[in-house]
Amino acid sequence: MEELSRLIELLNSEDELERLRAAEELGDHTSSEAVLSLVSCLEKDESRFVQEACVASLCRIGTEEVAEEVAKLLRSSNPYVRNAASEILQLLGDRAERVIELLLRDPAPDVRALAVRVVGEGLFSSASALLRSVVLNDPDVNVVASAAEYLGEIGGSREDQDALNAARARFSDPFLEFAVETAVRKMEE
Amino acid sequence: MGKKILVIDDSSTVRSYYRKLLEANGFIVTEALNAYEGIEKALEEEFDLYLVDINMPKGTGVDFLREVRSNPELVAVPAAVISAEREEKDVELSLSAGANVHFAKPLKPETLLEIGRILTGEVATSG
Repeated sequence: MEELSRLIELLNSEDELERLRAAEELGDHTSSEAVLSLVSCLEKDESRFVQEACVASLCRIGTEEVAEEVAKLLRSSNPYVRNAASEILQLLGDRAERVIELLLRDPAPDVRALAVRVVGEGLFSSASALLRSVVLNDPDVNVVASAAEYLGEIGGSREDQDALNAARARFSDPFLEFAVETAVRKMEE
Repeated sequence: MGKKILVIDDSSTVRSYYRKLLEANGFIVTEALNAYEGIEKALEEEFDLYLVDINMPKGTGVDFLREVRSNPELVAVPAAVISAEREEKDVELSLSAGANVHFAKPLKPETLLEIGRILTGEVATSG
């Protein structure tokens, strides 16, 4: 316990190497304090090396709590932080599924679009079902088009094709029409 | 010789959609998957217009715009941001990074072609 508090303290050191080592070693701890400190460090540290060590440690801890805390970073105004959060959630895969389901219902379309990317590029056993649900229900045409693109790459069932055709009818938008045609063609290849 | 457009977007569907519409109307299209690849291609070849997405996993559209606007050889090439972000702050960010215009996705085909024609100088703006 003493070691944990020392490592957390070192995350605020002025010495980049000390912060880097602390970020790496905190990956051996699974407590909330370790997770919260690493997420905060990933968000605020100005050293890319330290941030990358935080990403690696958070992936190593890999609990659902990591997914919950990292999901908050998808709203960051810093593109590196947003992408790092997305990468962690992709790697957590099924351990982040509950969090992803919530993100896919977020009021902000840009957050939902990022969640779609996480599902499409991540390690989720239910990826097709999650993307199908977006295609069938999401109110934003850009989010649906993105889900359609990923469904074209990883789906292929009759259900997937029906969902894509339902989206085409629901929006009647030339770009979505193109996205659906492209996805269906990929499924048939 | 058609005007040359560099399309920078991480979505292969978006890139293919723009390519299909633009090439059918005489433009020559080159694609880049992210800002870094976009910068490489902009340095390798001369373009008449950049069409840029903002939210991309590796280097954002803002990174691309800042880079080309700081390069004397590329500073004059017009750039249109076409992004899902549509709030005023997003438009301001695009324009302050060096975009000439910011449009929200999805674009109607005629809007895309109009952007292409006007910004490459193929047609003059009216009024």
